[in-house]
Amino acid sequence: MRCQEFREMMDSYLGDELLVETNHDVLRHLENCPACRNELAAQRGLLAQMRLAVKNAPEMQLNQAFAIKLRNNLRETALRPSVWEKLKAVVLAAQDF
Amino acid sequence: MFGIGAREVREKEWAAFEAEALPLMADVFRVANYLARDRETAEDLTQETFAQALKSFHRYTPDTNCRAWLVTILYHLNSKRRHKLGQLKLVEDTEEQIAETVAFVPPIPEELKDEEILQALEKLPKAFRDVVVLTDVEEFSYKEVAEFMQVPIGTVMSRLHRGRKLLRQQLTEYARNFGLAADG
Repeated sequence: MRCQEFREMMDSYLGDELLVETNHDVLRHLENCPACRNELAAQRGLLAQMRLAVKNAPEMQLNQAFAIKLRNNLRETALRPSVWEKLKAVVLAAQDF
Repeated sequence: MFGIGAREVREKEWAAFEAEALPLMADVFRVANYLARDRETAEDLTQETFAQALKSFHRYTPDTNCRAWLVTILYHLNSKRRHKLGQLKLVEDTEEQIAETVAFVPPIPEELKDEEILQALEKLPKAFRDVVVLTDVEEFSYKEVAEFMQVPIGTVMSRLHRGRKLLRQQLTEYARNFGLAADG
């Protein structure tokens, strides 16, 4: 594998999206090519920093009050008896009467 | 009164939903925020996504990829929202052309600040930024991203490749403007 070929498939390599055989070719190339190893390390470093920067950005944080309110609303909806259950209760109550 | 069995079933379903889906609320909100570019809309989308997910939870297979399942719902709801607003459009040719012109991949500058990376990401055309965020930040697979966006997997790969190239170009410009050394 040449450096140019590696650079073209570096994205797929980083995403773990290469076929096993191609992955082996990449690993063999990296073993013998310090320039591509450096390029890969730099790209990995950039992506890791970007991942943390986005996840830690203040505007990306979920508002806790919103989260609690949404959870409570969902819980109420989930545990609310269905119309059929309510109807059944009415029928049963009428039978008892 | 209500059947005890039915109440128990509801509580069991809620417990499963609470354990699998709710811990992912921050992740769903983050993706919604990137899609909507506005906190209020992102919160609305998050709320709608979880309401829809709760309704459809019987279709979800436990212990599979709940995050991808939720983001699929989010994308669907966002498409509907944009369709209503008349914002749905194909990637503009100009955006594709911008990306096409980046033939050279510049080396990554050293000592980048988080704000510089975030600003560079902001400057990417939306179609590329969305793919970069979903794959590089949120770590979804190409296949998952293709399913969210309803595009072929090859489109995801090419947008990611071009998006990363554009990002590096932006970062090189910052480095040049602020006199940071580029390695290589």
